[in-house]
Amino acid sequence: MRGLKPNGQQTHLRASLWTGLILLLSGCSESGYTAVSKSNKPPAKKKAATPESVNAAGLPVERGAKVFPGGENVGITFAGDTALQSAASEAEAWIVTAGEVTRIKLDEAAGWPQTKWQMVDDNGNPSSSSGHRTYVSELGLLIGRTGSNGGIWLASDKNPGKAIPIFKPTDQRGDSRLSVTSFKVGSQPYIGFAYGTTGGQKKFVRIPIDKSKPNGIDIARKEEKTFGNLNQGFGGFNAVGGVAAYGSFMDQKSKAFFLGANRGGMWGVNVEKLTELSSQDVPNVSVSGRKVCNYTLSTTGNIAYALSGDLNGNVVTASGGYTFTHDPVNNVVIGTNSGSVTVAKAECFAANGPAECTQQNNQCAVLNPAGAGSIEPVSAVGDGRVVGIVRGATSQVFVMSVNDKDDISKGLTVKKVADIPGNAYMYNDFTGLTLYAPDQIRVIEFSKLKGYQPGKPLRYVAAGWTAATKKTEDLRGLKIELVCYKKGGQKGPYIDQTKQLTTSASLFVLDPKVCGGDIDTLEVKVSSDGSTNNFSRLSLFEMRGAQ
Amino acid sequence: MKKPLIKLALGITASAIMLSSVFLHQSCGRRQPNLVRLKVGESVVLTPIPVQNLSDSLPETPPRKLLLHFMSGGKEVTPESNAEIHFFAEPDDEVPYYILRANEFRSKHLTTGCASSDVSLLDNAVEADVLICDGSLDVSKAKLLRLKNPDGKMKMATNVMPISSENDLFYGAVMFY
Repeated sequence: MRGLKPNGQQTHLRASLWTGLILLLSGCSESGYTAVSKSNKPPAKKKAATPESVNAAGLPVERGAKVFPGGENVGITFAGDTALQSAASEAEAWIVTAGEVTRIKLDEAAGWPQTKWQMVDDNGNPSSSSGHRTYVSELGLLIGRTGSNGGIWLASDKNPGKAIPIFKPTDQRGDSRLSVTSFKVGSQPYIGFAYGTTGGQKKFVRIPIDKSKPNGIDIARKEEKTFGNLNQGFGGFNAVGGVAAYGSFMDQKSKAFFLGANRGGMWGVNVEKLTELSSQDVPNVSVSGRKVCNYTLSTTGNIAYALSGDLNGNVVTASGGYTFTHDPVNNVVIGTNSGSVTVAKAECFAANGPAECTQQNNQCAVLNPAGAGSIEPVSAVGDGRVVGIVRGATSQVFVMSVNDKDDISKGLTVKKVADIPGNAYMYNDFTGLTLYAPDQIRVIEFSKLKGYQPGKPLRYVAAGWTAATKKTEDLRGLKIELVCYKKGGQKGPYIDQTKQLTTSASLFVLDPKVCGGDIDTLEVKVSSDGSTNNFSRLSLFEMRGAQ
Repeated sequence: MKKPLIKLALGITASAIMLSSVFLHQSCGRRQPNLVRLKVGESVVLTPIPVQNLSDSLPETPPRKLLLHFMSGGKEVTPESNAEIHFFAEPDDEVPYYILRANEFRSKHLTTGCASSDVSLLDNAVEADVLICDGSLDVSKAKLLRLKNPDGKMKMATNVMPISSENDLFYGAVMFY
């Protein structure tokens, strides 16, 4: 689906006098996101509109010439950095030390700006702990703290400067990490968390997100369930122990929340049904024993220090590993292990993957980390970059990019983006990649866009999106629905355009019977299809129309 | 007369060795740093370790657990602390260290001379630092030097005992005043 697909309307469209207008989504009524539209001058006659913009990550967004069917150089291309984003987190990394939270915008052009929160107690006094586990949610960063001073803290823009406690279990074991997550059941978003209880059991709790409630959660509707003994994990591995929630991976599609001990056993919860999972619920359980460069995969016991997974719900971990992450843009897994960084093709971790992955066959590579230090916590951003942290008295934060996804031997480019005082925690997703996509509705009033001539019927509208990574991507995990109507008139149902808009770097002409004629308003609704999305959160969504 | 003198000399030597081990982290931390610490904005390309060197670089050492017993005032602070040890760089960030966990010793990884670790005990009551200065990651030569109380006060160990190993399970006992 590259370029316009003129379909049956093309002849008719060609006969028309084209007055261009190009509409970039610039409204943002319900999503809460601030929209900016830029009015560019009309392009020169023989030049297609090829503006360049810089998105919020500082990445130049190259936009090629797009010629409308039957027309030439029509309209004005608006480009900005506001369009669609697919997750609550933009390109950001959240770094948590004992008592402080730092959010780093992964925007080199802006100088990697930071926002800080001090963790405080119920009285607003500084409060620190250890062993933090994190997850990026709609509300902000959820921080699960360890032990008797444990519970969930929240760092959000609603509480500038202070990360506050929002829920404290009364039965969290002193040594138990608290792995936190967020997910949706139907249209209801939740926060969820698991830990080991003082009674020696594994426990999972979910609380509905309700932004009208204090701190955004409806504690009155909390649901919880205890499971078996802390020492009972998958496959007979009994090393779950008191640290049953050392690491976690949330697969939004299957609603599986996998948890693991520190190099011990794994267990899991179906967060929708509140039932305990078995090893057979691990999609790639069969890969145990497979060699992938310096790793031996293990999906039930002797797992890595922390867990991760890919877009297909495969649990990405290995015996002896520290942390892993799946970069969906390059489709590689990056793992760390006390002084080494390993890059492997994602297929190496899939059930139907090769029997073994080796460096000789360029399926994986063990990289010498000496140039950067011992990178340990890693988390993919979703735009081809991965954040890695060298822990220490000062935590060093890096962004890493695979130099050539088809030739892993070319290694990783690692760039230092911050020195954060204090020793960082976070062994799960600290970039927001595995969160479901929040619903967004954007309203575009054509009359507010330059080039639109009131009263003239709209001939057609074309829509498409551009990947911020400069690569053509296929959209996964998102549903895109559109509806066109005349302001003040009757608004019809949303029309699902996901299939037409699957691929980036293309425009698709919407059915003029639906989005044509006497209309002046377009609404775009973007929502999760229930699974983790791979959509580059900084991609631009573009609309063009002609009268 | 000779024997007591020899004993005295040996005693002085032993004391000197022990004292030097206590303060060694100040000096040994500065030796043979082989990692480059990047500045913000700087980048580097990490390239694969040649396949022929992989076996040397990454020995297949089975994970091991570290069991530490922490004593304070003659009383055991926590009966068992086998959760984890986080190694981290010295506060003197001029010297980068490898970061390791005590329950996953991989001997070839620690070649920079020193490492310190932050022990999160089961009850979060105390934290402690372990310093390994011999460069071999031989646990028997690890020294627990400092203990940090929840109030942030550091205590120096007055009686440093070596951590011994037995059947791949490591035990340590450290006395604090």
